[in-house]
Amino acid sequence: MKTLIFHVEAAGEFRPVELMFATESEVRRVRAWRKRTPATDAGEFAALAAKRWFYYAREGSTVSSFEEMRAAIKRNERSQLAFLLVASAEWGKRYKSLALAYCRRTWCHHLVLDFLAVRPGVSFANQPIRGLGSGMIFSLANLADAFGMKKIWGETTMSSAPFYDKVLRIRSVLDLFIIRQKAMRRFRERYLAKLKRRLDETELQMHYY
Amino acid sequence: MMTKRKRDWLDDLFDYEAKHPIAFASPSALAEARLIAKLDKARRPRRRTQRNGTVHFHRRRNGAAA
Repeated sequence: MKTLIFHVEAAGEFRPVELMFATESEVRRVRAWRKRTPATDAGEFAALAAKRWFYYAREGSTVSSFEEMRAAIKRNERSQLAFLLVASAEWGKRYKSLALAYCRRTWCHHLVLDFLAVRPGVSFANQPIRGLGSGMIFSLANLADAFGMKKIWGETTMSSAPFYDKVLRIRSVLDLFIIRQKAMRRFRERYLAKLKRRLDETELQMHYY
Repeated sequence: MMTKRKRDWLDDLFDYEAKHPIAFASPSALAEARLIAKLDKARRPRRRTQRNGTVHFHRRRNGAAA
């Protein structure tokens, strides 16, 4: 599969961001968010997601690439796997990681989103980077599609439910969001259609088709 | 003349994200991660003696020169 790419708005332009499976060194880097941005939820969640990743890594239940995930599923189709996805951009040299998503593949081949966090204060040319959260969800839908996963789900809170509501246009997300295949496809199509209005054809072809 | 693009769903999303920090955790995942962190902390050896300088003092006295 092609790498997972989405676009964000940075300093008035749409720029590509790459979402990758984190290896051990990247997980350590994510863990350090808390030192640089103490007293933020994102900093705390990054550290806890990293802790959880290391815990599962000791049990051999984490994967660090597409290939590893494919191989693990091939070995045991009921395997439960955890992975951390990290968003980074070449143009955003100041930050090695812009956002994270800690996910799990369940025994019945669904994708669970446990942590989603955008690094606090990320900016480019002194302007905030916009669209990281929705872009992450778009890439997760692409990942699920690439692996033939029929469902993405996650528990929500009072603060996250309105976000999922807006992104997924699912009526009244309560304490759980579930994106079924049809909704996943609709969301990806809508996101791409809106991107088409902002990106030129070459850029679209290069990253999305 | 350039025409201005009409605002759409993606603009609204980006605005929402700009106003509301994206830092979400599933309650059960958070509880589990906190438990793991607690267990980890309990398992780690205490470093109190090193922090107050005692170890360095004894090392100096008992042959750091060796």
